[in-house]
Amino acid sequence: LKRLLDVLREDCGLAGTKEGCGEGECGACTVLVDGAPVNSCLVPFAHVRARAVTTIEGLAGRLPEALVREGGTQCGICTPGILMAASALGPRPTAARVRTALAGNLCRCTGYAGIVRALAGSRAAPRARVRRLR
Amino acid sequence: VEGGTAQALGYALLEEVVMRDGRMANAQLTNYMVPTTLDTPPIDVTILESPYRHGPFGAKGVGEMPMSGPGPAVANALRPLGLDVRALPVTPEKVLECVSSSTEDTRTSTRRP
Repeated sequence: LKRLLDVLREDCGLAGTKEGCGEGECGACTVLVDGAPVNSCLVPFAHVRARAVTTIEGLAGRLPEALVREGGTQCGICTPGILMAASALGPRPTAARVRTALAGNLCRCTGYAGIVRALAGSRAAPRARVRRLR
Repeated sequence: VEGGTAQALGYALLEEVVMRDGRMANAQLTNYMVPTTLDTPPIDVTILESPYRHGPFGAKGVGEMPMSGPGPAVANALRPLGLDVRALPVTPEKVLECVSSSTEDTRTSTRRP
């Protein structure tokens, strides 16, 4: 019984998909199976026979640039999973939809603020202001 | 700063380390919970620049500061309700414990409400 995660990383050499907790809590290993986000650490390889699996290597579009611009990625281990979960959302999701869709993807660095700005449009959440005291 | 604030809210509300025989007994994300997108509020950051005389170009550390505020802020937010939680994280269990002990206090207390 091989996990989809191990087949992707080891047999296919697609190391963009990360293993975080290995028990379906953190979402770092999120990939799309027939367009739906799943934790690849919990999916036996046999379950994806004749299904379309999309990993971060196959992600098209400008979501990565938006994450970089808004400070939505720091250490990076959650980032491939965040992007795959986000790519299953439709165009221009609201901040509330982004938060609900990414509730299964843990991020320790960003406080999710930059991620929500990047995915829901930067006007959906405030950016830091700088004020000089003297 | 945004990430530090979210971590500090986890410290304030969720992240309880349980030790048993010298080991952490809840070393999985299932039972050591860190904040998700839905636990983290929108965070509004304003950086007040005041140059530090001894730092290069007036710089000083900023990364650790966000950890200091949220714990006391959460605990103090309960004080107007008469709840005095004395250990972080302020979990629902601790709040309930505090509620039941404070109602006992009121019953036995001679103070006016």
